[in-house]
Amino acid sequence: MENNQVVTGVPEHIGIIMDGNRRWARQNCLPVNQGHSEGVKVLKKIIRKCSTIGIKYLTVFTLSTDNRNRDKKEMQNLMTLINLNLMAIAEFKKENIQVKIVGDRENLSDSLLHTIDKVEKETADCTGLILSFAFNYGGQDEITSAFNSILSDNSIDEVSVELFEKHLFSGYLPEPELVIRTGGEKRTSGFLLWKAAYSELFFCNKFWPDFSENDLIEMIDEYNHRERNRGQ
Amino acid sequence: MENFDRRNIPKHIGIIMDGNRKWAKENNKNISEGYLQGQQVFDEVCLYCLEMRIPYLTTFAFSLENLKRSNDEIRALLDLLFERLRDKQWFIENNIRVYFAGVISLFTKDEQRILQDLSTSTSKCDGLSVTIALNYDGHEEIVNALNQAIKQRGLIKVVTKDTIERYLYTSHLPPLDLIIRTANIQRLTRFLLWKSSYAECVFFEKYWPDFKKEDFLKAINDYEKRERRYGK
Repeated sequence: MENNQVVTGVPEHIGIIMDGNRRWARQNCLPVNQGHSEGVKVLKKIIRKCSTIGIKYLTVFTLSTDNRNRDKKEMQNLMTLINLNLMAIAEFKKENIQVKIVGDRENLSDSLLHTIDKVEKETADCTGLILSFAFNYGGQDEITSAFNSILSDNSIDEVSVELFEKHLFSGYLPEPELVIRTGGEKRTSGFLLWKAAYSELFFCNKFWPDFSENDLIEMIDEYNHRERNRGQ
Repeated sequence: MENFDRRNIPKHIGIIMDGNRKWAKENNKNISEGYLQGQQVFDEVCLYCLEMRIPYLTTFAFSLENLKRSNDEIRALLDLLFERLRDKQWFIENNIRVYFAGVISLFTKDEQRILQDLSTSTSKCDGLSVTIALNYDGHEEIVNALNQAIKQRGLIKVVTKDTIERYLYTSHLPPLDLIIRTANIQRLTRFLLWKSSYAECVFFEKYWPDFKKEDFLKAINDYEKRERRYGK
């Protein structure tokens, strides 16, 4: 029964801001690296859970509130790469997971572009969960980039919401029903700024390495509860 | 009030005032009374902002989505709202400058004149800037900005975030620091989409008509605590 756990009202798309690896490490008197590797372990569990219960899209954003005054994007990129490197392409394929990178591809080094290209191509035929890593991503940057791409196309005279969305990095994604942030911060930090504008927000005090499959299921239950209330 | 560190006080607060109707129902009052009570609380919040020298307050009065509700109810709500906005004197006496953000052209000519009149009459006030989001939708705001930009395509070489800012209904506003939402609804519903990227969210279970000064102070305090944590 446990393995075939039926979760009713499964959302199509969940977004997660994974925050708290470093603070978790510090709290447990461990090196920062261990915070990250613990974080990857949890991510793997959550990915598998999402697959099992039939979620179609999972989008993850690696953020660190510790680095507020340093170059945010650089830190974010670094940590996303750590995640990706620790998860082998073979593993994604075995689990039938399609991997996508959502973010700005301009100004990335050739070797980075090559890595991104490789993981996307090799998992392109997978038909299970679509797992997106926000990489080199900023919500306002995403909208700015769409403006530039539309303005440079002289054949476009007028834009609708639908057309605009097609020019976003996240254009291929449906709107996430839930956005979760761990680590205790209560803001969305521009994550899927356009697409998550209507999402139910779940702020969780646990650091990301302490987040569990049970926490996820509880949030989905709570989401369904909120949905029912909204209908009244 | 002396307990607050001025450096960490938010400069721009956004409020999504939910629960007027539910409050009316639960208190056996008609819906108009709920909205009137809500207006009363809004006035009080303006005064708290003045007292604490918070320069910008933005409220979500009426979304484009609200137009989908039954006509009678919308009419009742809008009538109350416009009646309130006719009272210029209250705003002038309290030194409050009023702006509007949203698709104002959807209102009748008479209604538009009321809004115009209030903005003009308060344009010299400099105690507090109140922006009232009317017929507002964060996606529409962005797409409208882009359509304005398309008309001036020849003048724009590269779009930056600043370029986009200039075309927004909310171009006069700094980023949102703090978002308050009542009635236990935990999503942003496209409120000030572009400006809300890094806003701290504080949600309240109580309905808007029950919102008190102590609740307002609690929200400021939550924000201030966060600032103190990261200011170091």
